[in-house]
Amino acid sequence: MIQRSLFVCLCAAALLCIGATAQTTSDFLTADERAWLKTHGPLRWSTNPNVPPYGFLNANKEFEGIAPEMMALVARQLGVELKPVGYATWTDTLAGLRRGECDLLAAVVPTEERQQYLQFTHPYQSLPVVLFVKRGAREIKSLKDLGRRRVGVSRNTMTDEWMRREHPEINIVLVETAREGFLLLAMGQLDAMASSLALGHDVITKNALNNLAVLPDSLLFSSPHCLAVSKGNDRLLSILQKAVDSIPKPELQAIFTKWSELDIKPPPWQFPAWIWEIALALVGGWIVIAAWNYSLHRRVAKQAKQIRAQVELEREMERRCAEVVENATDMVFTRDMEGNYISINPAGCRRLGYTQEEVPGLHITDLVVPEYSAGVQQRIDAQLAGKETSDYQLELLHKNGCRIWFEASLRLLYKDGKAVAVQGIARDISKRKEAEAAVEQERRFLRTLIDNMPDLVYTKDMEGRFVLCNAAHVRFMGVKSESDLAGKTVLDLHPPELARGYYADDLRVLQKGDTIHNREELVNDHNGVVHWHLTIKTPLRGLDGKVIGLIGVSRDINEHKRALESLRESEMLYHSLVEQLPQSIFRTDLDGRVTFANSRYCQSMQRELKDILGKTNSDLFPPDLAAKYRADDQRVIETGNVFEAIERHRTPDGREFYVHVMKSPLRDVDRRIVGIQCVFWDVTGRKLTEDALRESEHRLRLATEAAQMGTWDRDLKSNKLFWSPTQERNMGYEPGAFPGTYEAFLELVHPDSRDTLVAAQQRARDTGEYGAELKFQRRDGRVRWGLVRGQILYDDQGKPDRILGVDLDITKRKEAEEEVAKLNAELEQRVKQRTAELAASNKELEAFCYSVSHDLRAPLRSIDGFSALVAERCSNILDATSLDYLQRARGAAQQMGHLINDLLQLSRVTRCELRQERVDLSAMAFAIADDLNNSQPDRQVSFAIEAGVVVFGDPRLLRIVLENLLNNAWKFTAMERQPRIEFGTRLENNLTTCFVRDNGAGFDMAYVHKLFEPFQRLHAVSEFPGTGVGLASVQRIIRRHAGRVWAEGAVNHGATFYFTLQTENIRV
Amino acid sequence: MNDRIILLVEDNPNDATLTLQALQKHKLANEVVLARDGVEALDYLFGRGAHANRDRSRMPALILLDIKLPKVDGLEVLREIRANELTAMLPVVMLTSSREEQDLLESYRLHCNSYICKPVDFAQFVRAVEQLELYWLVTNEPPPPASRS
Repeated sequence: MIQRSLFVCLCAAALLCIGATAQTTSDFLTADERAWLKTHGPLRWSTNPNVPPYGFLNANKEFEGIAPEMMALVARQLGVELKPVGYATWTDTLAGLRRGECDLLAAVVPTEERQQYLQFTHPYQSLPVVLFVKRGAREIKSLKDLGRRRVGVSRNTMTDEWMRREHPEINIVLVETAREGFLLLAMGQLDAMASSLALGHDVITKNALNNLAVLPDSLLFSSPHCLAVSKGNDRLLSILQKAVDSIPKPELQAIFTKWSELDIKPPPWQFPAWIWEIALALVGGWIVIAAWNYSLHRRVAKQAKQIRAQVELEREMERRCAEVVENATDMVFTRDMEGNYISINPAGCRRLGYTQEEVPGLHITDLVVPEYSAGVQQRIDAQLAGKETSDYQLELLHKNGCRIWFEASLRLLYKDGKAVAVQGIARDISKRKEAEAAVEQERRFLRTLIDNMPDLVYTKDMEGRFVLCNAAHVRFMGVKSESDLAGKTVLDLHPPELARGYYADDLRVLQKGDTIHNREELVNDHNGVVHWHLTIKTPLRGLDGKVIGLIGVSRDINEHKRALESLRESEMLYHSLVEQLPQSIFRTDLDGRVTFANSRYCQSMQRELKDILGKTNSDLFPPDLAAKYRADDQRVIETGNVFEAIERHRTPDGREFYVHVMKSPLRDVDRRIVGIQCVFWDVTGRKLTEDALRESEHRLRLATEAAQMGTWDRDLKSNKLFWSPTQERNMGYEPGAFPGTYEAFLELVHPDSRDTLVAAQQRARDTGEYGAELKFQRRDGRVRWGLVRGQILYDDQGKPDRILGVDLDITKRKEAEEEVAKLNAELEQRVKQRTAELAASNKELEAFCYSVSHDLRAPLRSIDGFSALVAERCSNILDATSLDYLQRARGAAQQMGHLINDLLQLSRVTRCELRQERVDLSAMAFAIADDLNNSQPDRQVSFAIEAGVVVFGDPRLLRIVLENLLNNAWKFTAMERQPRIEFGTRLENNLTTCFVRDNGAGFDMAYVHKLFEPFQRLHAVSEFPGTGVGLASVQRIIRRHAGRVWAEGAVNHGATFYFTLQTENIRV
Repeated sequence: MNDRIILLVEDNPNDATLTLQALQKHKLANEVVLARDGVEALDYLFGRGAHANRDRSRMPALILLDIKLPKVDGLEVLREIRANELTAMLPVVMLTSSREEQDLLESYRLHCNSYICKPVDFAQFVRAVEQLELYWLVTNEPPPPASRS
């Protein structure tokens, strides 16, 4: 080995030299390839570290063998440095290549399997693969004899592939390494081992498997060795191929020869096997005999010397031995083969309570407790059979009958090759036994204890593997026994996401020696249900104080956790409730110190919570309030009763308001009062409202009393009727005397009002409002009237429940009304009478008018007619004066005719029915003007008539108005040289006013009030004819149209007559 | 057109005289029969009473009818004239002092042929009667005799 290491060193040195001088030798490479090498260097190579002599790692983890020397040659040829990369196994090596940690592999056999991921150069060597067998295995002479025999083959090797392909009949046993295979072969577990010659040779040599040998003539095939690169690395492969090709063959051969120590070539000729064996046997036999002879000689001489020394030694030993036995603390005894004691040393006698003198009489049965005698005998028998026996434990009997534990060993004493006695040493181990028992007791106690604990209890070793798990743990994990958990870590038992946490804790405890207290963690049980566990892990220390493992206790706190959660939730709920409540809430302890206050309370106190907690009433309130509150609190604490009141409260800033206060005792679980909870809220609004309500009720009561207004309340379901005292008085009852039934009320209803009552009730059912004026017969028989009003109140189902109402006494009003009705009736009667009278007088007037129009005219016509006839007949007889008189009579008669016509017209204007139509006054004025012009064509009167004056009114009557006014104008302009008549409108006080204006004779404004009176004239008939009725008619017509008529004028300066009709009547 | 009889129904003798005076100016009528009340007028027309022997085929060419009459008034007389087939088509002119609206309306409703209000002025009166006479006896074409049954 030293030589080899030396050689390696030499090789490495050579390699360096070669690397340094190789620059010029790589001229077989192309420029590209050289460039590639430069950029990819240094190339890393590796090989199978376990196949000496091809390749293996020495103690310094450096490669040795054929492969590294081959690589040295390759490096030299390429002129580059090649760097070895070593792995522990072949599998690791291949993985390293795949990971790109090395670029090429040396000494690789191109198996089919490897060709899937490697590319190989052409083989640079071919190595024979042969069969190794046990020496002397005569039944195997060639491959043909291997059928069904067990042949070892290294896994994943070309040999494996070859054997399967070529000899499928052979029972191949795959081994991981060649060494393993050869060892199996040596032990007889295999019948043969197929391996490369060099490898097999190396293994056999190194392991001194001298009983193994090559099966002659068993060359299976030649296994080619190549360089290999990862598949696809064609450039490197090509470079390597060129390098391999460039190595001179003798150099390659030299390497192999050096390492294999064998000529790889099978001998060109071999003796037949049996000759070889016989020769070997003969030679061997001779050598053995010679050696044995020589060694025998040496041994005889040596032994003689030894025996002499030994005899001396034994004597000395015996002497010492006896001393030891006498003084030993252990029991030393001898017994004959029948079990009779020959001797027991003093220590033994003492321990068993016997004297030396008693020993000879003792038999094995006296000392050995019967159940152990069989064991003792067994050992004796075993020794008789030449076997070693171990120490054993047994109980011996004290003289007093007590059992004492001993650990004993015995041996037979021989005399003349015959066992004659049993000698033994027994050590009192009762103390130890007791201690052991105590320990065992302790152990069982602890075991029982932990198995009966509901918590999971376990211990773990330094790797975190379970050592001990209690029953609860076994149950929790759903396994059959503790052994199913032992040796496993949490990583094996729990899902990784959970296990990682536990494992981290384990490591902390194990590595740092920390104790982990109360870790709350989620743990899944065998059903996958996750539990909250509270876990304690503490290091388990050996006697030397070193951590040797850990002890863990996990408690299922699911329920607890849930309870805690729900408690927290309910606390939060309570808190949020308390905080959200519009009430102020605080709690005090028995000393009156505030222990809690909600935010509302803090707000009302205008203090932070921290400034309130721990304070008492006297800290928070003025003395008077504080004293009162303290007294209230004291009462609650003493009586345990709830205190409730509405009282005045004052905040620190002096605001006063009414609060509704409830103070209730706080009790602990034992129902002891431990404090007070106070809830209060501002009821100022309510209080004020209540006060106001009370006030208003009072006022209402006063009002109803004052108004003699009774109130009533009828329960529709029971027909009970409640009456206020006023109501009772109104009905003639003494207060409180009304029976309170609806029937009693009905009896008081006057028969005249019964129908009204029924109708009112029907209306109330429809509308919910009840109201009627009812006539009652009071208790004392007097009649009274009541204005009864009420409202139905409905119950939750919407059914009528009660009627509430009032009864206002209206007897006086009713009496007044009756009086008025009576008067009205009388009045009506009178009016009818008067109307009839008026109708009659109207009729009379009509008859009068008729007779006027008819009967008064007839005599006038006779006067005029006969006067005319007389004047015609006697014109020749009568003188001028007589004729003049006749003419005057006729004039008067005609004047009377006109008067009658005008009077009739006036009366017609008053009597006739007024129609309302659209009337075009302008058109009417034009027509009248035409008529006037036609009646006196010789007159030249200028008319100015405004167009488009349209009004609503009676067309006949309005025509009379216009006719009269225009006729007058026509008449009174007769004297005018340039007569002018106007009809038009003007706005006056937002009212359209019509007018008729002339520039005629006019009138004196002093008499204007007489203008519109009938038969009043301001001018002489001789001057201007007329009856004085026209303007009276005009005024009547205008008044009937709800208008106004007036006149302006001056003597000789014309006159203007204005008239209006109803407001907005006139449209222009 | 030989029988140009005018029936004048007038209770007032003064008016009757004046009317006759007026009618006599032109003497267009063959005969003016004067009835002093409604009954007499109807008796004449239908050949009753004092006129029972009258040739009823001779009917007046014009009836001048006053309204205010004793016994049966003018409007009633007009209604009967229009109600009877014999007289229904006779021209009837109301000649009255009344200007009352209701008289006018009723007369026309009963199909009078004309309504004249007697003027107080005699000259006007004569003129009106002359016009009537001329118009109804000369200008106007009476209904054909065939229509008379």
